[in-house]
Amino acid sequence: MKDELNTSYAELHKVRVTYANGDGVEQATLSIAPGEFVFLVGPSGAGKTTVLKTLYLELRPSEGHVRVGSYHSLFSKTRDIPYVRRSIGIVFQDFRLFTDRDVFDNLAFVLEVLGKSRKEIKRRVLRVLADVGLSHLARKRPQELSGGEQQRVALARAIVNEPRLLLADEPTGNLDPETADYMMRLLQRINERGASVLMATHNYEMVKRYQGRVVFIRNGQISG
Amino acid sequence: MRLSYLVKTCAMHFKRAWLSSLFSVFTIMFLLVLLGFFGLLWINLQQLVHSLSSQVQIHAYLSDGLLESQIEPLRSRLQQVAGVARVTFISKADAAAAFQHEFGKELFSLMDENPLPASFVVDVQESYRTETGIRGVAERIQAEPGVEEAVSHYKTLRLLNRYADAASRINLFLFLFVAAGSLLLVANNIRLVIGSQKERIDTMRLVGATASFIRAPLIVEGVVQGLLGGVLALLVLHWIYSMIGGLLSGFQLQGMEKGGLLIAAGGVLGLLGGCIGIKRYL
Repeated sequence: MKDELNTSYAELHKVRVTYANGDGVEQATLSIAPGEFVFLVGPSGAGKTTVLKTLYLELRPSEGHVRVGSYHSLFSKTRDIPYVRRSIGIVFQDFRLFTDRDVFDNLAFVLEVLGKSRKEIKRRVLRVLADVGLSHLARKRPQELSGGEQQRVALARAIVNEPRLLLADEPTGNLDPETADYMMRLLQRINERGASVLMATHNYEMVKRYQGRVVFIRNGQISG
Repeated sequence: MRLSYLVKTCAMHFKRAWLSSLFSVFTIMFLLVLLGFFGLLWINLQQLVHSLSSQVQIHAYLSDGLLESQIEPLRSRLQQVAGVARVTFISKADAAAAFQHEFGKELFSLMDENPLPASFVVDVQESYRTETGIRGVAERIQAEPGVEEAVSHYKTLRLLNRYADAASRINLFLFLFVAAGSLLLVANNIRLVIGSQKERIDTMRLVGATASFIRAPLIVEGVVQGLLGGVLALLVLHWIYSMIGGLLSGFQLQGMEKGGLLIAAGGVLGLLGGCIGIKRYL
Protein backbone atom coordinates (compact mmCIF):
# COMPACT_ATOMS: atom_id res chain seq x y z
CA MET A 1 0.00 0.00 0.00
CA LYS A 2 2.84 2.35 0.86
CA ASP A 3 4.39 1.62 -2.56
CA GLU A 4 1.07 2.33 -4.20
CA LEU A 5 0.88 5.67 -2.42
CA ASN A 6 4.26 6.55 -3.76
CA THR A 7 3.69 5.46 -7.35
CA SER A 8 0.04 6.19 -8.13
CA TYR A 9 -1.44 9.62 -8.71
CA ALA A 10 -4.97 8.47 -7.96
CA GLU A 11 -6.43 5.39 -6.39
CA LEU A 12 -9.55 3.71 -5.12
CA HIS A 13 -8.97 1.23 -2.33
CA LYS A 14 -11.71 -1.29 -1.51
CA VAL A 15 -14.27 1.38 -2.20
CA ARG A 16 -17.95 0.85 -1.70
CA VAL A 17 -20.46 3.34 -3.05
CA THR A 18 -24.12 2.40 -2.98
CA TYR A 19 -27.09 4.29 -4.45
CA ALA A 20 -30.56 4.19 -2.95
CA ASN A 21 -31.65 1.56 -5.50
CA GLY A 22 -28.84 -0.77 -4.44
CA ASP A 23 -26.59 -0.12 -7.49
CA GLY A 24 -23.04 1.11 -7.09
CA VAL A 25 -19.57 -0.35 -6.74
CA GLU A 26 -18.25 -2.85 -4.23
CA GLN A 27 -14.66 -3.46 -3.09
CA ALA A 28 -13.46 -1.37 -6.02
CA THR A 29 -9.71 -1.05 -6.14
CA LEU A 30 -7.94 0.84 -8.90
CA SER A 31 -4.75 2.83 -9.07
CA ILE A 32 -3.59 5.13 -11.81
CA ALA A 33 0.10 5.92 -12.11
CA PRO A 34 1.38 9.30 -13.29
CA GLY A 35 1.33 9.39 -17.10
CA GLU A 36 -0.65 6.17 -17.39
CA PHE A 37 -3.53 5.61 -19.84
CA VAL A 38 -6.23 3.38 -18.37
CA PHE A 39 -9.39 2.17 -20.08
CA LEU A 40 -12.26 1.32 -17.75
CA VAL A 41 -14.40 -0.98 -19.85
CA GLY A 42 -17.82 -2.30 -19.01
CA PRO A 43 -21.42 -2.40 -20.16
CA SER A 44 -23.93 0.32 -19.37
CA GLY A 45 -24.87 0.31 -15.69
CA ALA A 46 -21.70 -1.55 -14.66
CA GLY A 47 -20.52 1.31 -12.43
CA LYS A 48 -18.07 3.16 -14.73
CA THR A 49 -19.54 6.60 -14.05
CA THR A 50 -19.68 5.82 -10.31
CA VAL A 51 -15.94 5.08 -10.34
CA LEU A 52 -15.27 8.35 -12.15
CA LYS A 53 -17.55 10.32 -9.83
CA THR A 54 -15.75 8.82 -6.84
CA LEU A 55 -12.42 9.85 -8.33
CA TYR A 56 -13.53 13.42 -8.94
CA LEU A 57 -14.94 13.41 -5.41
CA GLU A 58 -18.59 13.92 -6.20
CA LEU A 59 -19.44 10.67 -4.44
CA ARG A 60 -18.04 9.77 -1.06
CA PRO A 61 -17.33 6.07 -0.40
CA SER A 62 -19.10 4.46 2.53
CA GLU A 63 -16.22 1.99 2.82
CA GLY A 64 -12.60 2.08 1.70
CA HIS A 65 -10.91 5.25 0.60
CA VAL A 66 -10.12 7.38 -2.42
CA ARG A 67 -6.93 9.30 -2.91
CA VAL A 68 -6.19 11.87 -5.60
CA GLY A 69 -2.92 13.77 -5.42
CA SER A 70 -2.62 15.05 -1.88
CA TYR A 71 -6.31 14.50 -1.12
CA HIS A 72 -7.26 11.47 0.96
CA SER A 73 -10.93 10.80 1.68
CA LEU A 74 -10.19 9.60 5.22
CA PHE A 75 -7.96 12.47 6.27
CA SER A 76 -8.62 15.49 4.08
CA LYS A 77 -11.28 18.13 4.61
CA THR A 78 -14.29 18.79 2.39
CA ARG A 79 -13.10 22.33 1.80
CA ASP A 80 -9.97 20.91 0.10
CA ILE A 81 -12.05 19.29 -2.66
CA PRO A 82 -12.25 22.32 -5.02
CA TYR A 83 -8.46 22.60 -4.97
CA VAL A 84 -8.00 18.90 -5.80
CA ARG A 85 -10.49 19.19 -8.65
CA ARG A 86 -8.32 21.91 -10.18
CA SER A 87 -5.71 19.24 -10.89
CA ILE A 88 -8.31 17.01 -12.55
CA GLY A 89 -9.87 17.44 -15.98
CA ILE A 90 -13.30 15.91 -16.51
CA VAL A 91 -15.02 15.12 -19.78
CA PHE A 92 -18.63 14.50 -18.85
CA GLN A 93 -20.78 12.08 -20.77
CA ASP A 94 -23.37 14.82 -21.32
CA PHE A 95 -20.65 17.49 -21.92
CA ARG A 96 -22.09 19.93 -19.34
CA LEU A 97 -21.09 22.97 -21.34
CA PHE A 98 -22.37 26.42 -20.34
CA THR A 99 -24.94 27.25 -23.00
CA ASP A 100 -25.06 30.96 -22.13
CA ARG A 101 -21.36 31.37 -22.94
CA ASP A 102 -19.48 30.87 -26.14
CA VAL A 103 -16.77 28.25 -26.59
CA PHE A 104 -13.99 30.65 -25.58
CA ASP A 105 -15.74 31.63 -22.35
CA ASN A 106 -16.53 28.00 -21.52
CA LEU A 107 -12.82 27.32 -21.44
CA ALA A 108 -11.95 30.67 -19.88
CA PHE A 109 -14.19 29.93 -16.90
CA VAL A 110 -11.89 27.13 -15.70
CA LEU A 111 -8.96 29.54 -15.75
CA GLU A 112 -11.00 32.26 -14.03
CA VAL A 113 -11.49 29.77 -11.20
CA LEU A 114 -7.72 29.36 -11.04
CA GLY A 115 -7.33 33.15 -10.84
CA LYS A 116 -5.33 33.48 -14.07
CA SER A 117 -4.80 36.89 -15.66
CA ARG A 118 -6.81 37.91 -18.70
CA LYS A 119 -3.70 37.68 -20.86
CA GLU A 120 -2.86 34.20 -19.62
CA ILE A 121 -6.45 33.06 -20.09
CA LYS A 122 -6.50 34.24 -23.69
CA ARG A 123 -3.15 32.62 -24.44
CA ARG A 124 -4.08 29.25 -22.95
CA VAL A 125 -7.60 29.08 -24.35
CA LEU A 126 -6.49 29.89 -27.89
CA ARG A 127 -3.70 27.33 -27.68
CA VAL A 128 -6.00 24.55 -26.46
CA LEU A 129 -8.66 25.41 -29.04
CA ALA A 130 -5.98 25.12 -31.71
CA ASP A 131 -4.93 21.75 -30.23
CA VAL A 132 -8.44 20.34 -30.63
CA GLY A 133 -8.99 22.05 -33.98
CA LEU A 134 -11.73 24.42 -32.85
CA SER A 135 -10.11 27.85 -33.16
CA HIS A 136 -12.62 28.87 -35.80
CA LEU A 137 -15.55 28.11 -33.46
CA ALA A 138 -14.32 30.15 -30.48
CA ARG A 139 -17.22 32.60 -30.60
CA LYS A 140 -19.95 30.02 -31.21
CA ARG A 141 -22.34 28.91 -28.49
CA PRO A 142 -22.30 25.15 -27.70
CA GLN A 143 -25.83 24.70 -29.01
CA GLU A 144 -24.65 25.89 -32.42
CA LEU A 145 -22.13 23.04 -32.65
CA SER A 146 -22.45 19.41 -33.72
CA GLY A 147 -22.20 16.60 -31.16
CA GLY A 148 -18.61 15.88 -32.16
CA GLU A 149 -17.64 19.53 -31.86
CA GLN A 150 -19.31 19.78 -28.47
CA GLN A 151 -17.37 16.71 -27.36
CA ARG A 152 -14.12 18.38 -28.42
CA VAL A 153 -15.07 21.56 -26.56
CA ALA A 154 -15.73 19.44 -23.47
CA LEU A 155 -12.28 17.87 -23.89
CA ALA A 156 -10.68 21.27 -24.45
CA ARG A 157 -12.28 22.57 -21.25
CA ALA A 158 -11.03 19.52 -19.37
CA ILE A 159 -7.41 20.07 -20.41
CA VAL A 160 -7.18 23.85 -20.42
CA ASN A 161 -6.03 23.82 -16.77
CA GLU A 162 -3.26 21.35 -17.71
CA PRO A 163 -4.56 18.64 -15.36
CA ARG A 164 -2.48 15.83 -13.95
CA LEU A 165 -5.42 13.45 -14.26
CA LEU A 166 -8.00 13.41 -17.04
CA LEU A 167 -11.23 11.53 -16.45
CA ALA A 168 -13.29 10.95 -19.58
CA ASP A 169 -16.73 9.39 -19.38
CA GLU A 170 -17.66 7.72 -22.69
CA PRO A 171 -15.94 10.48 -24.70
CA THR A 172 -16.54 8.61 -27.95
CA GLY A 173 -19.95 7.24 -27.06
CA ASN A 174 -22.05 9.28 -29.45
CA LEU A 175 -19.47 9.92 -32.15
CA ASP A 176 -19.11 8.46 -35.62
CA PRO A 177 -16.02 6.21 -36.06
CA GLU A 178 -13.96 8.91 -37.74
CA THR A 179 -14.65 11.55 -35.06
CA ALA A 180 -14.22 8.92 -32.33
CA ASP A 181 -10.78 8.09 -33.74
CA TYR A 182 -9.89 11.81 -33.80
CA MET A 183 -10.98 12.07 -30.17
CA MET A 184 -8.87 9.04 -29.19
CA ARG A 185 -5.81 10.52 -30.84
CA LEU A 186 -6.38 13.76 -28.91
CA LEU A 187 -6.61 11.84 -25.64
CA GLN A 188 -3.42 9.97 -26.43
CA ARG A 189 -1.65 13.21 -27.27
CA ILE A 190 -2.71 14.65 -23.90
CA ASN A 191 -1.43 11.47 -22.24
CA GLU A 192 1.89 11.74 -24.06
CA ARG A 193 2.29 15.23 -22.59
CA GLY A 194 2.29 13.65 -19.11
CA ALA A 195 -1.30 13.57 -17.88
CA SER A 196 -2.76 10.34 -16.52
CA VAL A 197 -5.95 9.41 -18.38
CA LEU A 198 -8.81 7.24 -17.20
CA MET A 199 -11.33 6.70 -19.97
CA ALA A 200 -14.59 4.93 -19.28
CA THR A 201 -16.13 3.17 -22.28
CA HIS A 202 -18.41 0.30 -23.16
CA ASN A 203 -16.66 -0.23 -26.54
CA TYR A 204 -14.01 -2.91 -26.03
CA GLU A 205 -13.52 -3.34 -29.78
CA MET A 206 -12.36 0.25 -30.05
CA VAL A 207 -10.12 -0.02 -26.99
CA LYS A 208 -8.18 -2.87 -28.55
CA ARG A 209 -6.93 -0.53 -31.25
CA TYR A 210 -5.19 1.82 -28.81
CA GLN A 211 -2.42 1.51 -26.26
CA GLY A 212 -3.24 1.54 -22.58
CA ARG A 213 -4.00 -0.63 -19.59
CA VAL A 214 -7.46 -2.14 -19.69
CA VAL A 215 -9.53 -2.59 -16.54
CA PHE A 216 -12.94 -4.25 -16.67
CA ILE A 217 -15.93 -3.45 -14.55
CA ARG A 218 -19.11 -5.50 -14.32
CA ASN A 219 -21.89 -5.28 -11.74
CA GLY A 220 -19.84 -2.86 -9.69
CA GLN A 221 -16.80 -5.14 -9.47
CA ILE A 222 -13.47 -4.10 -10.98
CA SER A 223 -11.14 -6.72 -12.44
CA GLY A 224 -8.09 -6.88 -14.68
CA MET B 1 -11.41 36.72 -8.72
CA ARG B 2 -11.07 39.37 -11.40
CA LEU B 3 -13.42 42.36 -11.26
CA SER B 4 -14.29 42.03 -14.95
CA TYR B 5 -15.38 38.43 -14.36
CA LEU B 6 -17.56 39.57 -11.46
CA VAL B 7 -19.19 42.34 -13.50
CA LYS B 8 -19.71 40.07 -16.51
CA THR B 9 -21.25 37.31 -14.39
CA CYS B 10 -23.55 39.75 -12.57
CA ALA B 11 -24.68 41.17 -15.92
CA MET B 12 -25.31 37.64 -17.16
CA HIS B 13 -27.41 36.81 -14.09
CA PHE B 14 -29.33 40.07 -14.50
CA LYS B 15 -29.99 39.24 -18.16
CA ARG B 16 -31.09 35.74 -17.27
CA ALA B 17 -33.62 36.84 -14.64
CA TRP B 18 -34.12 40.45 -15.78
CA LEU B 19 -37.81 40.64 -15.00
CA SER B 20 -37.37 39.40 -11.48
CA SER B 21 -34.29 41.63 -11.00
CA LEU B 22 -36.14 44.71 -12.22
CA PHE B 23 -39.07 43.84 -10.00
CA SER B 24 -36.69 43.62 -7.03
CA VAL B 25 -35.04 46.96 -7.85
CA PHE B 26 -38.33 48.81 -8.25
CA THR B 27 -39.93 47.26 -5.21
CA ILE B 28 -36.89 48.09 -3.09
CA MET B 29 -37.12 51.61 -4.53
CA PHE B 30 -40.79 51.85 -3.53
CA LEU B 31 -40.09 50.57 -0.03
CA LEU B 32 -37.15 52.94 0.41
CA VAL B 33 -39.24 55.88 -0.85
CA LEU B 34 -41.77 55.08 1.87
CA LEU B 35 -39.02 54.83 4.47
CA GLY B 36 -37.29 57.96 3.19
CA PHE B 37 -40.51 59.96 3.05
CA PHE B 38 -41.42 59.28 6.67
CA GLY B 39 -37.79 59.69 7.69
CA LEU B 40 -37.73 63.14 6.13
CA LEU B 41 -41.10 63.95 7.65
CA TRP B 42 -39.70 63.05 11.06
CA ILE B 43 -36.54 65.10 10.51
CA ASN B 44 -38.58 68.13 9.46
CA LEU B 45 -41.05 67.79 12.32
CA GLN B 46 -38.14 67.59 14.76
CA GLN B 47 -36.70 70.67 13.13
CA LEU B 48 -40.04 72.46 13.38
CA VAL B 49 -40.43 71.50 17.04
CA HIS B 50 -36.92 72.74 17.77
CA SER B 51 -37.47 75.97 15.88
CA LEU B 52 -40.86 76.65 17.48
CA SER B 53 -39.69 75.78 20.97
CA SER B 54 -36.93 78.37 20.65
CA GLN B 55 -39.60 80.94 19.81
CA VAL B 56 -42.01 80.02 22.58
CA GLN B 57 -42.26 82.81 25.14
CA ILE B 58 -44.35 83.18 28.26
CA HIS B 59 -46.44 86.31 28.54
CA ALA B 60 -46.97 87.27 32.18
CA TYR B 61 -49.86 89.79 32.27
CA LEU B 62 -49.76 92.01 35.33
CA SER B 63 -52.63 92.93 37.66
CA ASP B 64 -54.15 96.33 36.86
CA GLY B 65 -53.62 97.69 40.35
CA LEU B 66 -49.87 97.09 40.36
CA LEU B 67 -47.87 100.16 41.32
CA GLU B 68 -44.89 101.42 39.32
CA SER B 69 -42.67 100.78 42.32
CA GLN B 70 -43.69 97.11 42.44
CA ILE B 71 -42.70 96.38 38.85
CA GLU B 72 -38.94 96.29 39.23
CA PRO B 73 -38.99 93.96 42.30
CA LEU B 74 -41.37 91.67 40.38
CA ARG B 75 -38.99 91.59 37.39
CA SER B 76 -36.16 90.61 39.77
CA ARG B 77 -38.28 87.81 41.25
CA LEU B 78 -39.24 86.53 37.80
CA GLN B 79 -35.63 86.58 36.72
CA GLN B 80 -34.89 84.26 39.66
CA VAL B 81 -37.52 81.69 38.61
CA ALA B 82 -35.91 78.41 37.50
CA GLY B 83 -35.82 78.13 33.71
CA VAL B 84 -36.14 81.84 32.97
CA ALA B 85 -33.53 83.24 30.58
CA ARG B 86 -34.65 86.81 30.04
CA VAL B 87 -37.47 89.08 31.20
CA THR B 88 -38.62 92.07 29.14
CA PHE B 89 -41.13 94.58 30.44
CA ILE B 90 -43.96 95.71 28.12
CA SER B 91 -45.82 98.69 29.57
CA LYS B 92 -49.49 99.39 28.89
CA ALA B 93 -48.40 102.12 26.45
CA ASP B 94 -45.99 99.75 24.65
CA ALA B 95 -48.75 97.14 24.37
CA ALA B 96 -51.14 99.71 22.94
CA ALA B 97 -48.56 100.92 20.43
CA ALA B 98 -47.89 97.33 19.32
CA PHE B 99 -51.61 96.67 19.02
CA GLN B 100 -52.17 99.85 17.00
CA HIS B 101 -49.24 98.98 14.77
CA GLU B 102 -50.77 95.61 14.05
CA PHE B 103 -54.47 96.39 13.86
CA GLY B 104 -54.69 100.12 13.22
CA LYS B 105 -55.83 103.06 15.38
CA GLU B 106 -59.55 102.84 14.78
CA LEU B 107 -60.31 100.44 17.62
CA PHE B 108 -58.58 102.62 20.21
CA SER B 109 -60.33 105.76 19.08
CA LEU B 110 -63.65 104.23 20.23
CA MET B 111 -62.38 103.60 23.77
CA ASP B 112 -61.81 106.04 26.62
CA GLU B 113 -58.85 104.28 28.06
CA ASN B 114 -56.20 101.70 27.13
CA PRO B 115 -57.61 98.24 27.99
CA LEU B 116 -54.35 96.33 27.45
CA PRO B 117 -52.46 95.22 30.57
CA ALA B 118 -48.75 95.70 31.17
CA SER B 119 -46.80 92.44 30.90
CA PHE B 120 -43.46 90.73 31.11
CA VAL B 121 -42.31 88.70 28.11
CA VAL B 122 -40.28 85.80 29.45
CA ASP B 123 -37.77 83.87 27.33
CA VAL B 124 -37.14 80.35 28.54
CA GLN B 125 -33.74 78.68 28.92
CA GLU B 126 -33.02 76.08 26.19
CA SER B 127 -33.12 73.12 28.56
CA TYR B 128 -36.67 74.11 29.59
CA ARG B 129 -37.98 74.39 26.02
CA THR B 130 -40.12 71.30 26.25
CA GLU B 131 -43.82 71.05 26.85
CA THR B 132 -43.43 70.15 30.54
CA GLY B 133 -40.53 72.58 31.03
CA ILE B 134 -42.46 75.56 29.65
CA ARG B 135 -45.60 74.61 31.55
CA GLY B 136 -43.59 74.40 34.80
CA VAL B 137 -42.01 77.80 34.28
CA ALA B 138 -45.43 79.30 33.40
CA GLU B 139 -46.95 77.84 36.58
CA ARG B 140 -44.15 79.26 38.74
CA ILE B 141 -44.56 82.69 37.13
CA GLN B 142 -48.32 82.53 37.56
CA ALA B 143 -47.80 81.94 41.31
CA GLU B 144 -45.93 85.24 41.72
CA PRO B 145 -48.03 87.99 43.37
CA GLY B 146 -48.82 90.73 40.88
CA VAL B 147 -49.06 88.35 37.91
CA GLU B 148 -52.64 88.12 36.72
CA GLU B 149 -52.08 85.41 34.14
CA ALA B 150 -49.08 83.62 32.58
CA VAL B 151 -49.79 82.47 29.02
CA SER B 152 -47.66 80.14 26.93
CA HIS B 153 -48.30 78.18 23.73
CA TYR B 154 -47.04 74.86 24.98
CA LYS B 155 -50.12 73.13 23.58
CA THR B 156 -48.89 73.78 20.03
CA LEU B 157 -45.56 72.34 21.07
CA ARG B 158 -47.31 69.33 22.57
CA LEU B 159 -49.20 68.74 19.33
CA LEU B 160 -46.04 68.93 17.21
CA ASN B 161 -44.22 66.64 19.61
CA ARG B 162 -47.03 64.14 19.24
CA TYR B 163 -46.74 64.27 15.46
CA ALA B 164 -43.00 63.85 15.66
CA ASP B 165 -43.39 60.86 17.99
CA ALA B 166 -45.97 59.31 15.67
CA ALA B 167 -43.66 59.83 12.68
CA SER B 168 -40.83 58.24 14.64
CA ARG B 169 -42.99 55.18 15.45
CA ILE B 170 -44.22 54.91 11.85
CA ASN B 171 -40.59 55.13 10.77
CA LEU B 172 -39.52 52.27 12.98
CA PHE B 173 -42.40 50.12 11.75
CA LEU B 174 -41.63 51.06 8.15
CA PHE B 175 -37.97 50.30 8.62
CA LEU B 176 -38.81 46.79 9.81
CA PHE B 177 -41.31 46.39 6.95
CA VAL B 178 -38.85 47.67 4.35
CA ALA B 179 -36.04 45.55 5.74
CA ALA B 180 -38.12 42.38 5.72
CA GLY B 181 -39.53 43.15 2.26
CA SER B 182 -36.15 43.90 0.71
CA LEU B 183 -34.49 40.85 2.24
CA LEU B 184 -37.29 38.64 0.97
CA LEU B 185 -37.15 40.10 -2.53
CA VAL B 186 -33.40 39.87 -2.98
CA ALA B 187 -33.31 36.38 -1.48
CA ASN B 188 -36.13 35.29 -3.77
CA ASN B 189 -34.38 36.70 -6.82
CA ILE B 190 -31.26 34.76 -5.89
CA ARG B 191 -33.39 31.64 -5.44
CA LEU B 192 -34.62 32.10 -9.02
CA VAL B 193 -31.09 32.59 -10.35
CA ILE B 194 -29.83 29.54 -8.45
CA GLY B 195 -32.85 27.48 -9.56
CA SER B 196 -32.25 28.33 -13.20
CA GLN B 197 -28.56 27.50 -12.92
CA LYS B 198 -28.47 24.42 -10.76
CA GLU B 199 -26.68 22.23 -13.29
CA ARG B 200 -24.36 25.04 -14.20
CA ILE B 201 -23.45 25.61 -10.52
CA ASP B 202 -22.81 21.86 -10.14
CA THR B 203 -20.48 22.00 -13.12
CA MET B 204 -18.70 25.02 -11.66
CA ARG B 205 -18.05 23.01 -8.50
CA LEU B 206 -16.76 20.09 -10.53
CA VAL B 207 -14.20 22.20 -12.36
CA GLY B 208 -12.83 23.41 -9.03
CA ALA B 209 -14.78 26.56 -8.22
CA THR B 210 -14.86 27.24 -4.48
CA ALA B 211 -18.10 28.13 -2.70
CA SER B 212 -17.01 31.77 -2.41
CA PHE B 213 -16.24 31.93 -6.13
CA ILE B 214 -19.80 30.81 -6.91
CA ARG B 215 -21.39 32.98 -4.22
CA ALA B 216 -19.57 36.27 -4.81
CA PRO B 217 -21.44 37.28 -8.01
CA LEU B 218 -24.78 36.44 -6.38
CA ILE B 219 -24.00 38.59 -3.35
CA VAL B 220 -22.76 41.44 -5.52
CA GLU B 221 -25.97 41.15 -7.52
CA GLY B 222 -28.00 41.59 -4.32
CA VAL B 223 -25.93 44.63 -3.33
CA VAL B 224 -26.30 46.18 -6.78
CA GLN B 225 -30.07 45.68 -6.68
CA GLY B 226 -30.22 47.34 -3.25
CA LEU B 227 -28.00 50.25 -4.33
CA LEU B 228 -29.99 50.80 -7.53
CA GLY B 229 -33.20 50.75 -5.51
CA GLY B 230 -31.64 53.31 -3.13
CA VAL B 231 -30.50 55.65 -5.93
CA LEU B 232 -33.91 55.52 -7.62
CA ALA B 233 -35.63 56.10 -4.27
CA LEU B 234 -33.45 59.16 -3.69
CA LEU B 235 -34.37 60.56 -7.11
CA VAL B 236 -38.06 60.04 -6.44
CA LEU B 237 -37.78 61.65 -3.00
CA HIS B 238 -35.93 64.57 -4.52
CA TRP B 239 -38.80 65.06 -6.91
CA ILE B 240 -41.41 64.77 -4.14
CA TYR B 241 -39.38 67.22 -2.05
CA SER B 242 -39.25 69.81 -4.77
CA MET B 243 -43.02 69.49 -5.25
CA ILE B 244 -43.73 69.92 -1.52
CA GLY B 245 -41.09 72.62 -1.18
CA GLY B 246 -42.91 74.62 -3.88
CA LEU B 247 -46.16 74.39 -1.91
CA LEU B 248 -44.63 75.36 1.45
CA SER B 249 -43.38 78.90 1.09
CA GLY B 250 -41.27 80.19 3.90
CA PHE B 251 -40.35 76.79 5.32
CA GLN B 252 -36.98 75.37 4.40
CA LEU B 253 -37.27 71.57 4.04
CA GLN B 254 -34.33 69.68 5.47
CA GLY B 255 -32.89 66.18 5.51
CA MET B 256 -32.06 65.56 1.84
CA GLU B 257 -28.38 65.86 2.72
CA LYS B 258 -28.83 62.52 4.51
CA GLY B 259 -29.96 60.90 1.23
CA GLY B 260 -26.72 58.91 1.07
CA LEU B 261 -28.01 56.91 4.03
CA LEU B 262 -30.91 55.70 1.91
CA ILE B 263 -28.55 54.37 -0.76
CA ALA B 264 -26.38 52.79 1.92
CA ALA B 265 -29.49 51.20 3.48
CA GLY B 266 -30.38 49.77 0.06
CA GLY B 267 -26.88 48.36 -0.31
CA VAL B 268 -26.85 46.80 3.16
CA LEU B 269 -30.32 45.29 2.68
CA GLY B 270 -29.21 43.89 -0.70
CA LEU B 271 -26.10 42.42 0.90
CA LEU B 272 -28.08 40.77 3.70
CA GLY B 273 -30.73 39.55 1.24
CA GLY B 274 -28.00 38.05 -0.93
CA CYS B 275 -26.43 36.28 2.05
CA ILE B 276 -29.81 34.92 3.16
CA GLY B 277 -30.64 33.75 -0.37
CA ILE B 278 -27.34 31.93 -0.68
CA LYS B 279 -27.54 30.36 2.76
CA ARG B 280 -31.06 29.09 2.09
CA TYR B 281 -30.87 28.02 -1.51
CA LEU B 282 -27.25 27.26 -2.41
